[in-house]
This record gives sequence, structure tokens and C-alpha cells, in this order.
Amino acid sequence: MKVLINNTLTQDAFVIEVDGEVDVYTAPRLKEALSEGLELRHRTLVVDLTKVDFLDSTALGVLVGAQRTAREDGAEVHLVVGSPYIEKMFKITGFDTLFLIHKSVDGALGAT
Amino acid sequence: MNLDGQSQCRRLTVSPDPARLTEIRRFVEDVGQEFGLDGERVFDLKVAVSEACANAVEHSGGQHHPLEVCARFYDDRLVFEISDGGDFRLPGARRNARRDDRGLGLPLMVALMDEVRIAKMRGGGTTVHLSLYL
Repeated sequence: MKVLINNTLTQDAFVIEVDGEVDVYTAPRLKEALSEGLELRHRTLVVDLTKVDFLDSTALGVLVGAQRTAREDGAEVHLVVGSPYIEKMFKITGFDTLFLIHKSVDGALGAT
Repeated sequence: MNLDGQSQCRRLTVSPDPARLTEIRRFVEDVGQEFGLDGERVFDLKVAVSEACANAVEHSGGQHHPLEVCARFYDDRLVFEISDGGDFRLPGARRNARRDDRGLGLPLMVALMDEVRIAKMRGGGTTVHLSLYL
């Protein structure tokens, strides 16, 4: 898994691009990136999961935990999801109600 | 008595290490495609087997009982058996079962598979059976 923080798109949002498989072994790196964005007091965090081909319950937990922390600080985590299989993971857990799920990073940035 | 009878088993044995989960998922993908499952069902199977293995790794308690993944093909279903040397525990139960943290693995398995069975083996160890019907 690769995690890339891309701050070239906009100054207003903290964009995290994730590539590969996010599981119990690799999810801590995603958690670190989210913590960094929250510590920098960004009001909008965008997690781009377009290039993610696998996500497990630990990864879902990391995202949900980040959303909770973000909202306590008046911030919001947005998701970008391409794969219908990944989207299904959010639907069957009910976590789709906790996030605004976008089709593209531009769409996510436009919604903020 | 072995209820699973004559069915052939495709087996993968790995150390109980979370770094090995990728390799387990590749194995599941190969088996699922060989069985003719579509992309969505292969994905579901990867999630369920990966969660079962992650639980097994978590409750292996740092011991080195190998983790065994066995795929059995039947006429009407595909069954994955995940066996380890540890005792089954509800993941996350110790930490008040914060469902957003850990403890989602078992519900995910149940949601994605047609049948989930957890067997505590005599003499120790746990086997999780995950079945997909055709």
C-alpha cells in the first residue's frame, strides 16, 4: 500500500491518496496520514480510495475514527470511491451514512 | 469422523503474521477465479477470509501455530476453512467492543458469506468455515 499526501491541489483541503490494499497490517499508515491532517487543523480531509483494491474492517475503523475526531473539531472527512466493491463495504456496514462519498477528488473539493 | 469426506483441499499454510494476509488474499483470488466466481463474489470471499485470518493472527497471542487456509470445492458450493492453534475470542470484546474500531470482522463475514461456522477443535485451536453456494 502507498499513502501519498497531495497538497498541490488546493490549500483548503488535505488530500490523501491511497494506493493498493488497506488492511490490519497497512492501515496504521493511513491513520498516521489522517492524524497529520487533523493536527494541521484542516477543515476538509479528502481520502482518495480510487486506487484501493482491498479494504478490511480495520481500515473502515480507521476512517470512522478519523471522522469522529474530525467532527469534534468542526472538520469533515470526505471519501472518493471508484470501485463498487469498496462502496459496498461502506453500505453493508452502514458507514455510508457517516461520509459524503464522491466519484472524484474534484467532486469532493467542489462539495466543500 | 471427517464430515468433509472425500473433497480435495487446496491448502496454504503461513505463519500467523499480518504481513502474510496479502499472500492469503492472492490465494483466495486464484481459487475463486478457478471456481468461476464473478468479480464481486471473489472480492467478498477475499474480505471474509482475510477477516477470519486477521482474527486468527490476533488471537494467536504471539505463538507460532501456523495458520492454515484450505479451500474445498463441492458441486454446489465453495468452502474455505481457516484453522489456527488459538482459542476463538470475540475480537475487540476486551475493549468494550467499539464497533468502529475492531470487532467488525465477524459481522462482515456473516454479511458477505452464505454460511459461517466456527468450530472449536478438541485439543485446542479454532476452525472457521466460510461457504459460498452457487
